[in-house]
Amino acid sequence: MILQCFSLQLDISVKGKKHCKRKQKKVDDNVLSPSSKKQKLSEEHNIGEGIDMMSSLPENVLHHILSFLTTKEAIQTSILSRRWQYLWTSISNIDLNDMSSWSNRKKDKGKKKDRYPMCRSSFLDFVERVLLLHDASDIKRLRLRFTVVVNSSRLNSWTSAAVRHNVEELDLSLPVQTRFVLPCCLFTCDSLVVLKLFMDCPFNPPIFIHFSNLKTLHLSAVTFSDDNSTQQLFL
Amino acid sequence: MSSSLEKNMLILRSSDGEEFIVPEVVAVMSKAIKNMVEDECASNTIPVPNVDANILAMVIEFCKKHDESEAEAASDLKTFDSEFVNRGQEALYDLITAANFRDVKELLDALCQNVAEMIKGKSVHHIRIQFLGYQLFEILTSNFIWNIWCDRDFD
Repeated sequence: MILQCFSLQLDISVKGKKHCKRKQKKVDDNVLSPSSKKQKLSEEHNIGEGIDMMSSLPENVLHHILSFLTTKEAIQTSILSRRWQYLWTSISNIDLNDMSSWSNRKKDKGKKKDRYPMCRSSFLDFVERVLLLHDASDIKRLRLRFTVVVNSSRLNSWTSAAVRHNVEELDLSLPVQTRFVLPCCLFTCDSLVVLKLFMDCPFNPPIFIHFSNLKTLHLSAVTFSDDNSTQQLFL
Repeated sequence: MSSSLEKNMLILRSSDGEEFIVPEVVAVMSKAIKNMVEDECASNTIPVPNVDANILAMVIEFCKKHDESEAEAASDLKTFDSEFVNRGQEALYDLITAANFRDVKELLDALCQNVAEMIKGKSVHHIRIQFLGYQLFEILTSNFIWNIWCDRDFD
């Protein structure tokens, strides 16, 4: 389900073998075209000769390679082969943005506007899975930029998941349902260094606040219910 | 041989027996070698198993350039890096293995970034055919279920 969100064009298996052969030719052309660098590479090694270079690399190298990809690209690699299936679950920077994910789809299916609400809820499911399936390694940075309204129980579980994974930088920019209260565990998170919130929500910090490592705090559009809550945060 | 060697030079011996004389500052860009030197368990000749002469020469070339050009403009170094990593897959694989095994951070970074750039923007079957050595037939058989999944997409 996770992967449903993205338009990975796995379009080979649909038609017969002849069709596929033609397609492979097309693929070759595409591989060659983007730059001379890749052209050289493809010339040196015939495509499909069975090197299986990537899969035989040690796991730490594969993780290193994933760290240079965007979150979306890193997760897409999970359908490459069994070796890659769960590699992405240890990525340390998660940066998801619903607009960039949808812009491609809009071009493809501009007419089907009525489907968007459902798409969006699937996108939220996707984000949830990315966070909940993350393995035991730490999440360094979590950045979510949505235009979709997120309900508070979801957001609560996301934030808690991030805190559980010792998040260092939390950057949330999303519309929320009213009366959203940030989970208490966020306010006592030791690992947090940067906290950026852009949420139109009433801000009611709990009585006990302890940010031992926090260096940057950005709050935008947040409403403090009264002076008391402001003081609580800054005292 | 060691007597004729300057004090701050080291000899690296590749897996196929070829020897390279390199300045110590260059050799210690490999953390594994650095540890050996620091712990004084390295005699003048340091064996570098699993890395053949060809690859070792490339690694040394890279380290030398990075050592020399510390003061140079970063952009120069970047162009050098991008040209350096522009190699065939087999050489890339050997270089990555060597950089990982000998723990040469700069080289590993440059190589991994290069592989990541190759993956970027490609569809799954491109990557499979190009890097994973999949034959078209394997893709057709092994991914039947995935394809059904992805066909469902958001429609």
